[in-house]
Amino acid sequence: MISAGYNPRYQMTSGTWKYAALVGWLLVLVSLAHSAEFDEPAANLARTIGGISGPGTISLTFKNTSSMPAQKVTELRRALEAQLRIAGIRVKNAETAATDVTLTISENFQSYLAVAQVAQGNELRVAIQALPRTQTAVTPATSRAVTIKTNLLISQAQPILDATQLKGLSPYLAVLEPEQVVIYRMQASGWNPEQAFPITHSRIWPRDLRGRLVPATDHLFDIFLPGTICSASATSPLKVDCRESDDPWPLGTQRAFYGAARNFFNGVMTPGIGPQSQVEPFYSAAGLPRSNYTLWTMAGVDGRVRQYDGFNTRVVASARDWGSDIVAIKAECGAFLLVTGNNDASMPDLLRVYEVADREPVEAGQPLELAGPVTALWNIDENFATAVVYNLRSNNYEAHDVTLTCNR
Amino acid sequence: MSRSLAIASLVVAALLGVATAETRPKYGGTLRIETRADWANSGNPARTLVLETLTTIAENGSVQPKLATSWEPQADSRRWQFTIRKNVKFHDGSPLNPTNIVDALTVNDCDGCPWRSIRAQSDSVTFEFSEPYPNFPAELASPRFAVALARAQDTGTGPFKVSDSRQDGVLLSAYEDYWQGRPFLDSIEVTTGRSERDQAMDMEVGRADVVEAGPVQMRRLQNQKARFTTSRPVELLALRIRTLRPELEDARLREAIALTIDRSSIHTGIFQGQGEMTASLLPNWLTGYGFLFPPQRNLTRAQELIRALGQAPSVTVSAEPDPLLQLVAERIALNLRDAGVTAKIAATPDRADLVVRRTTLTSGDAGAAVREIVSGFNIEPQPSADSPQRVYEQQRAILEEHLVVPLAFLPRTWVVSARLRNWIPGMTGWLRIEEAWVAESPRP
Repeated sequence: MISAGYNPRYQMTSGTWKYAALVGWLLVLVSLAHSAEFDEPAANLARTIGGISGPGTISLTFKNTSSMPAQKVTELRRALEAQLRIAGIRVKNAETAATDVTLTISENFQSYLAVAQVAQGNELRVAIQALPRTQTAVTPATSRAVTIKTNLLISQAQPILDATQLKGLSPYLAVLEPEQVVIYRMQASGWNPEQAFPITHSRIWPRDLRGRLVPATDHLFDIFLPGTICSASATSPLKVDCRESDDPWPLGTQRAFYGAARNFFNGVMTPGIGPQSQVEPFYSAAGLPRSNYTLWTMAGVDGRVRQYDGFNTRVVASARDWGSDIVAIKAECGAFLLVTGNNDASMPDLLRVYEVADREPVEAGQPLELAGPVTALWNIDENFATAVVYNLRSNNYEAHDVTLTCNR
Repeated sequence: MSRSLAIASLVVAALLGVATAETRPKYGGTLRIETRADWANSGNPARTLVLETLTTIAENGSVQPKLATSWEPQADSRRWQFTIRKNVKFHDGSPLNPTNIVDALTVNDCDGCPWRSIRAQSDSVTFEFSEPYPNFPAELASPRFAVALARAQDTGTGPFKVSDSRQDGVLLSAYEDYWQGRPFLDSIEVTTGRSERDQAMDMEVGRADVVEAGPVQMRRLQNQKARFTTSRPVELLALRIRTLRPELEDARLREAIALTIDRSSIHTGIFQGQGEMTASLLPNWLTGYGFLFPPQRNLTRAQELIRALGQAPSVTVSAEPDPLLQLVAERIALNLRDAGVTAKIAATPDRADLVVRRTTLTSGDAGAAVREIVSGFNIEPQPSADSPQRVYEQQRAILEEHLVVPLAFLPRTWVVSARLRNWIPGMTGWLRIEEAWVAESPRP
């Protein structure tokens, strides 16, 4: 039997003192690192306030009318007081101060603002300083049978059509944009752009441009865009050559023809699903391997989700709230469909995972709420997908690796 | 079950039955838009589908390239050089080039344009100014500086071209060679000069897909569970004080008039709580420091100022022809009488001393927006400022003249039909129809 009790007291040895001092220093460093984001605006503000009040004493009242967290307000206050001291200004209480400063933290649609109202006698003057606004992290959802896991690869203002880490060259990332493909290399500071190759094309890209970056076996990768195909060279120095082509795009074990002036596949498949080489035009298709055939699920241009097994076509009535992007991903416990939601592009999307035991899809895990709409969802291979999300808060495009893990 | 309820149930059931997954945009279809403004009015939002500007303001407020790909300041921002996008064609097939941009921007001598001179070079356009103009790229995003062929005013480079003009509107069709890709919609019928009341009726009977709605129509359509999309508060309602008679040249009287206005009762009684009261030229979402311009009435101070003038003043009050603004003018006349000012309602705004007007922000850049608003009230604008501090100081200086008295910012509200998808209102309420599409079945 174990009895309940307090942890025994340990005497601090000189080693533990050193350890405590180190932790203390680290905490100081962390605190300094946090406030560093306010150093420059605080210095500007202190200079402006000093320009109005002159050296001497001020009272300082803080008001926060913004959504800035209290901890950040404290950091800002510390940074400002430090900068005021550097400017020769001492902060005192209102009774003894020559100047009263009311600092209001407010915000507009772009940034936080520090608005200082500086009162000297009957005169009131105003100093305004923009402050940086940092993003808050999003926590992943938990799950039932499988868990959807995402790993942010890259975030940028330019649209991303597809992104993939290049196999065999693990510290490299290829990012497909509408007019170029950029190769990034992982360094201590994160992904750094190393080379960019323009995508040459004579046709105007269609709206809702889609493109795929497909790793190849005998060269680095191929790029599929509407009416255009590009290939990376097999030898160094790396080159990317593009040509006009209506060749079909790879979709798992199939290839499908994509409309050069539109945003969907026209339904012609090669080699075909069994004897079926023509299906309804579709936005995306996912193949779930069965023992002797593949069950294809396709998000049709007409808004219906259909299943094709080579002989029968079935409309999935329960898929009314699915979006138009579907991929199939394998996990240790089976193969699943990963599906976007049917929200407008103005709203955050949900990634949902379905198991298809026979024909009827059954939700197999908690949906994952994303920071914005999914603009692209492609398989990298049977175990991974890339989801590109337009983050509605940051207005950045974010490419994520998506995998599934089984809950035991 | 009543007959109407049974029919409604059938409709809902039918909608559920055909409801389908639709996220990626679909090509095709015709959209029907109605607007209050005439087609020729540069403030008509549908014009932005036809005519484009050299720059644009992104949702985060940053200036982004449009028909210009880059720009650089020279001579301490007294000169700006804009490099023009290549491979862009006007709707008649003629190529966009620096010369036709200069022609477009000088077609009517560009009354009120901020530049001193403009000239075309091989691949760029250069603007010269008398004084530094750091915020000029943001200002060029205004629809006032939209580029149309000088010889054919409705021929632009936008995603839609005018394929038919009627007295009550225009028919727009998708421009296949649009440099950013053909829009999803095949065509748009734009009916213009339509009152908000008529627009609401057309929406009710299914004759329109997108209509504007004021506070009164909103209440009516809300009862019908219509789909609304509301912008941030972008429409400024303000009182313009004209110095047509000597008494009003005295800033003390103008200040007294400004202090007399009871914005709170206007906001709750007339605007039904919509939008925000303001004493600032810019809305708080754009600046963040609206609190520096308190909107409260100060009748005591107003009466002191009037007493100091020595005699009871007399003014005429009017409004632009708009039922909402006329109600505001009547309320202001009552407020003025509280302070001892003799205020009469004038039938037309032509010779009135005080006129209630509205103007819509089209820029998400604070500096450019101040200039736009001041120009809208026929006050000589200063070069637009490029920092929060300078924008504040510029606003403060303009407001201390008491020639414009801001009253309220109202949002622009649009009612959209169930079949319209992916229509995202821009920051200032402008339509972004080029990204929209129509679904075969309405969303349940």
